[in-house]
Order: sequence, then C-alpha cells, then structure tokens
Amino acid sequence: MSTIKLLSSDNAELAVDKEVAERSILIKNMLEDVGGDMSDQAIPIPNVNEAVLRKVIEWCEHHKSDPPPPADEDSDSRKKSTDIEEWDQKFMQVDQEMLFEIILAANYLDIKPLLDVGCKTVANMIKGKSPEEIRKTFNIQNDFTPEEEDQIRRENEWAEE
Amino acid sequence: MASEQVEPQSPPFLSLPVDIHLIILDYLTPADIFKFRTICRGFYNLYCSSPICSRYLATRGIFPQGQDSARAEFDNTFLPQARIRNGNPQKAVLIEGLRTSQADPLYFTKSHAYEHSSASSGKEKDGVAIYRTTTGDVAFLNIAEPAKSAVLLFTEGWEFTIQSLADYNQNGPGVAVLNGNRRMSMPWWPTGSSKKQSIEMDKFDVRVHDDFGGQVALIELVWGRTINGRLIPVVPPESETAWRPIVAGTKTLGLVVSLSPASFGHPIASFSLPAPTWPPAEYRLNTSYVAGVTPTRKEFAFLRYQRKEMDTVCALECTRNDIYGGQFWSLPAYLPSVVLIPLENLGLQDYAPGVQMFMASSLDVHIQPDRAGELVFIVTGAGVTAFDISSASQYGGFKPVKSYWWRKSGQMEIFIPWELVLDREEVQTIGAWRLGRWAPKSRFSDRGFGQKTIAPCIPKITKSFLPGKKYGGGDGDEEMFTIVRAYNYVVTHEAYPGVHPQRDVPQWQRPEFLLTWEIPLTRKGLERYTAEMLNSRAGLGSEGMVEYQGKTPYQCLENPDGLYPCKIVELQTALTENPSGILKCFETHSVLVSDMPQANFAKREEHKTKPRWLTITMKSLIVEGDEYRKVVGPADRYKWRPKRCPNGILEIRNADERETMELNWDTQVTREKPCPRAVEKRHSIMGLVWGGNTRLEPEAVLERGLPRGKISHVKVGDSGNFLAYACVPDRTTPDNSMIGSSKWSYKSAVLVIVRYD
Repeated sequence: MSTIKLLSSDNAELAVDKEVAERSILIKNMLEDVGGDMSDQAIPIPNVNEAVLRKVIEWCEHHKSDPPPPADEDSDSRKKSTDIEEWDQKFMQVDQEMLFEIILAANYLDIKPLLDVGCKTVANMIKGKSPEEIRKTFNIQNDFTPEEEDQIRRENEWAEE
Repeated sequence: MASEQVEPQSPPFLSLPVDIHLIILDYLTPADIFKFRTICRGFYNLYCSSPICSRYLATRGIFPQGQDSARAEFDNTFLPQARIRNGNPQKAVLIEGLRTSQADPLYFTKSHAYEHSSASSGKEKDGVAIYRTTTGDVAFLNIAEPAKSAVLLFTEGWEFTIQSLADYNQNGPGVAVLNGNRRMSMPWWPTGSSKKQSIEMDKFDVRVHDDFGGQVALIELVWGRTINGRLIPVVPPESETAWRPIVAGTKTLGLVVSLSPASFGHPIASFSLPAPTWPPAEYRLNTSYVAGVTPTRKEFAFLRYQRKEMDTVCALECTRNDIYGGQFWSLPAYLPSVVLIPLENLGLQDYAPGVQMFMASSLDVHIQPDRAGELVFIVTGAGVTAFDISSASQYGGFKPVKSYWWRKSGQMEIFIPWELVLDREEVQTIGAWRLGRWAPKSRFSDRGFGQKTIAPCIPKITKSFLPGKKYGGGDGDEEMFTIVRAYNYVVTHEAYPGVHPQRDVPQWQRPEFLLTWEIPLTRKGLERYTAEMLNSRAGLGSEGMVEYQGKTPYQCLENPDGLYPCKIVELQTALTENPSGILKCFETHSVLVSDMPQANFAKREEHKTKPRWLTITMKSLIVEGDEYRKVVGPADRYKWRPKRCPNGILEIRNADERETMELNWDTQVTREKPCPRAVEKRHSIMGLVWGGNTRLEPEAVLERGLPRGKISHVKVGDSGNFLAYACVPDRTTPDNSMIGSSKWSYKSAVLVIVRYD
C-alpha cells in the first residue's frame, strides 16, 4: 500500500496511506492530476494545522472502507437524520474550537461524510436546548434589547409549541 | 470604579462559512431555527438572510398548490415569518418573462414595496424590482405598471438609452421592429461582454445601493475583468482617451436613475467614484436635495459615501451641457464636476475617536441647502459648516463661509435628577444595556444633579428646518436655520454603584431627546454672528444653564467657543427610526413636526424659526400653531376631521381615530429634477419605435398554484408584508426565440410576489 505525505499549515509532515488520504476528494483529485505519484513530495494542506489534520486522518482511517456517499444527497434532505454512529460520537467529543476546525477542514478537504458528522454534532448540540442554553453552549452574548427579545418571541410564538 | 469590559467577539460558530450553516440548517427543525434567531443579532440576521431562506424554501418546499392552505404551509415551513407582519397570504402576483441573471440578486425598492399608499386613490405602490438581465443590462421592473418597465442600455459611444422591458424581452436588446417585420438594430453595448478589450475590461459589476424612498436608484457600476469566474476590478488606463473622463484612471461610475413615473428608468445624475475597495461603500444620498431644489444658478446633488478610512461628501454639479442635439443623453457631456469635501476637515475625526467601526452604520451627516441656492450646510457630529455653492471654483472647490462647533461635539451631557424622569428600576434596566465604554463619567456628582447623563454614543441629526420654503434671498441677519439632533440616554457608572454594564456597545435605539440649535440662514447673518452672539441670543450666558422643559437645568461642557442648544424636547415613543410608520398613540407623545407651512407662522414671530412640536394626548392634539391639515397624512386628512378648538388644540373624538391616525411625514418639496430634455426626446423616439407591450402584466395566481422550480433571490419585504422571489420553473416554457433572432433567447424566470396583509 503506497504512502503519501501531507504538509500541514504549521509545516508538520504526516505520512498517510494513499487509500486513507483519498477519502478527501480534494486530495484524490490532486493525486489524479499529478498521475498519482506524490511519494517524494508532501502535499501542502495550507488551511489545516497538524492537530486538526491528525484528527481528520484518524477519522479517515476508521472510515476507509465505507462506501462512497450517494452523489445527490440533497434530494431528500428533509428526511435527514441526526443519528451519529457511536464511534463518530466519541470521535467528536472534542472542545468546540476543535469541532469547528474539523468541520472547516472537512469542508476544505471535501470529505462530505465527515462534514456531515460535524454538522450533525453541532445540530445535536442545539436540539432540545433553550435559547439561553444555546447561548451558554456556544458562548454567545445576547445583544438584543429586552424589547427586541420580546418582539421576536411574540412574532415566533407559533414555533415555540 | 473599574468595570470589567470584554471586547465583543464574533462567536466562532457564527463565523463559520454560510455553506456550513446551510448544511446545519438541514438538520434543524423550524423550532430549532426559531431558537437560533432569538439568541443574538448575528444569528437573527443570518437566519433571515437570503441564502438561508432560499435554502429552506428550496429543500423543504414552498407554497402549496392553492392559496387556501397557504397559511398552514407557510407557518409550518417558512421561518422568516417573524418579518411578515400578519402571516396570512392574501394575494400572489406572478410576473413572467423575466430574463434575470442567476448570479446577481434582485433589488427591491425598500420603502415603497407593497406599502399601502396614503393617497386617497387607494392605489398601492408596488415598488420596483431592479435586476441584471442575462445579458448584463440593468432592468427596472415597475411592479405596479409593468408595461412601463425599462431597461437601461449603454451604447458603444458610451451613451445611455432606454428600451421598454417588454420590447427588450420580445425583440432583444437594442432591436426595434418597424412596420411589423422590419428590424432595426440600435447601437448597443452589452455590459456583460465588452468589445473594448483595449482597456482590459470585459464586464460591469452592477451594485444597487439604495432607492432613497423609491424616488431614485443609486447604482454603482464597477469595471472589471472576469478571471476564473470572479470579477476582478480593473482600472482603465489614463491613456484611454475614448473613455475619458469617465472611466480613465481610477473610477467606478455612480448613476442616479429616476424611479418616478414621469421619467422611469432615466438616469438623472452620474458621477465617478473611487475604485472599489473593501468594505463596500455605504452611500447616503441627501434625498431632500438630490436633483431637487433648484438654486438660482446651478444644480447640485450631494452624495455622502463612506469607505474604510474615508468619509466624503460629493457635490455633484448637475448642470447639463447638451451637445448631442437631444438624440442621446451622453454621459461625458453630463459628467458632473465632483467636489470632494472630506469630512475630516469638518471636525469629524474629533467626534468619535476609536469608534470608526461603528461610524459607517450609524453616524449621520446632514446636508441642507438654503432657500436661495447660495449656501449649503453640512452638519456633522462636530458642528456645522456653511459652504458657498453659488461660486464653485473651476478646479472644483467650494468656499466655506463659516463653521460653528457644538459646545460638546461627541456627546451632550445633560444632568437631570433621575427621579424626575425615570424610576430606579427603569434606569437600571436601561442602564443594563446602554452602559458603554463611551459613557462619560459624571464630573458634577457633587453638585446635586450629576446623576444621569444623556450621552448618545452615536448621535443622529434628524431634521433641519428652514423658516419656510419661499424661494429667494433671506431677509437679512435674523433668519435662523434650526438643526435638530437626537439623543439617547446613557447612564454613568457612578450613578448606580454596583450596576455593571452587561453590554459593551450601546446600540442606537429610538431617540429620546431632541436638541435644537439655531444658526443664521443667510450669508449676511453668517458673517455677522459669532457663536458667542448666538449663545447670547438664545439667552445663554457663560454658565450654560438652560431650562429643560421649564423645570430642570442642564449644562453643556467643554468647547467654550461652541454653540449651546437652545431647546430640548423629550420624546416618549413617537419618533422612531422609521418615522413614516403609523403612529400608535397609547400615551402622550411629543413629536417633531416637519414642514409646517410657513404662512401660518409668519405672523407669530416666535414660531418663525422654530421647529414645530406636536403633542398628542389621549384627548387632544396640540400643535404649535393652528395648522393641522399638513400634520396628518393625506388619507386621514379627508376622513379625520377633528373638532377645532382655539389655541391650536384639536380634539380627537374617539380612540380609533387616535390610534389609526397616520402622520404625514412626507416633505412637500418637489424632489424630482426635471429629466433632461434630450432623454425625454430620446425616450419618445424610442417609444415611437418600440411602442408599448403588455407581456409583463402581472398575473394573479390562479388555481394552478405557484410555480415550483429553482428559487433564487428570496426577499422578505422591508415593510414586512410581502415575500418575493425569482423562480425558474421546473418545466420552463420553450425559449421564446424571436423571429430572425436565433441568438437572442434565454431561460425565462418568474417573479413571484406573495403578499401578506
């Protein structure tokens, strides 16, 4: 099994199996463009630092045998479930900064399943929480005036049932 | 007392790219999304934004087949209901045949879109949608009267011309069909792809900035080249003589296009702007003056624009120089001389140091011409400067006549025993969110009235009053021009020990106090009066103590040479950010009444130069003066006939009248500059050639329901009662390829407007 090297934004070189790295559509396309031979040269990943890249590789290694995601995922998005596999749940038990970094890295590297897991994790952090709890969870300051808050609440009473 | 103040930071979650928020959106229920919109302004704005609404609508379905069940569906699926006033769709209109570009968003006029007109005719002002066509031209769709819609075309000689939108769609741009079948092609330059490759430009970016109350559209055309699908702004070289002086060197082009029925779609002013940078400029056209008042010698429109590190007023000389015999309105011939008046020179840099990040959105600069067309007053937070516009230099400069500075520029400290106005609980509530780092410390706490400070972080200049509107010269030194600024409360830390600020940056809310200043209106008066003389005239000595509403003193600090305000009026609830709204009178209000007819006050000297105040109580309406007809809106003017009592008191007979009374905030000044004769002539020639076409007539939604398809440009009306979007239906009608014009075909979109009354 051939190995390639990835160069993180903080100049750390990480060796990874090609098959694992190709979970990233970005890297896969890149390798295809250069004829697949990048054994002697590290592929720069300028938007992702070493710690995040290691996490992403960890995820890719675990999921290297997964079937590719369906091409048209948006076709029935209303039925999207927020269920997350147990391993992925544990994988995503990181601090928020890392979680957002993973989401951004997955977006950049074009790893749709990882991006979905990240977004589902965020969605699950929101579900069932009150606005105040959401604020606390994401460290958001309420900058509405009491009057505005009242107004918004009144306007949206229908959704509070 | 040191307070712990944390620098405001955008939460990392909010700073995720919109693409990711769109994915997260797919996993959220309507209730989740609602909660998100209530947690902070940033999320509220994000979850009301077009990409989010558009995604939601596109993935979860839009309206049902018929209108009957629309409400339930709407309530269940479409979240921005909060911005729809009543949430009950009453009327939907489809306008087919739009050739809109998918990339550029539609622009809807803000204030007029789907608002009920107050005119007695009962007609509604349906507003205007402005969009780029697939070929890159700028289309102005008059929703109320689609047949009058127009497309602005540029000719290769860099001239503007107008084609009716229906004909544009029917025959193609710049193509006329004569006698039924003879085709004539007018010179036309598609803005989407230029032949002028020599200047390394191949595209315009069109940005519609504002519509200034539905009167005119301010459009910015940015020169650019498309590289890898992105528009990169370019600067045409100075050596490009064919394009001089419009584009050569540095500039983008600003266009003011009329939206009035008489000259719909006609450009009425053009000017060059600095090359685009980030952040985008914020433009504020002085609506009371753009193409409005006609001074004795020249016409100017004033435009204030802001970019990072630059805040400038442009004076646009609009004198027309027709050298084309009326055939075309030629831009070079109309290029106004642009006079830049950097506001730094007016003391703005001293006004709010360290708050530049907030200046762009909140700071106000007011521009007011005098009656005679000689002077223009530019009012900033630091003071007011009068310029002589009757004699602009040939190098583009105005001569400042005089500056007066406010007694305290950044804020006005007014010390009032707080128990007189607010109880402690209210102050604590207000203080909780209005305390800010710019709140001044009270220096007079040991003098008995140093407990509360009215200190706007960002004061606003709301109105200015000329004594009457009669044109011609003033009557000497004594005529005074009144400037009104609005203020909020800010409560100092010292006043309430133990109360810590919860919010770092107070936001401008509705004004609670209005302060007025008076300065001479005429050149003669300006030359005569010093600030000290004006203070003395207002009865203010060096102590600076003024009666506040007859009972409470206040004191101005700093700037001993500055002007004191001469009047303070407290507002309860009436004057809001949107003064054109219907006034709900549940309590006594004092409101500022603009444009009271001078004739009724001329005989009463004390009212001659003052703003007029209207006080609405539960039972009466008291005006300083006896003229009420101008106070109420035209619609109410006919149906509301209060009993007239002496001394300007008008009785309101029942609560219904009081609650629905609509104040007339419309100024009476005719604002529209007469459209240039050449354009009129040109338009009529075009009209002869192209004639009218009713293909764009709106069609009320029938049983077949609203179209389904690719939805874009979702817009919830600023007036809160309509929703509009462009839709390319799933099953598009065959391209309407025109006779003999196989290359002129597009995909047709439908403009859908659903109204919620």
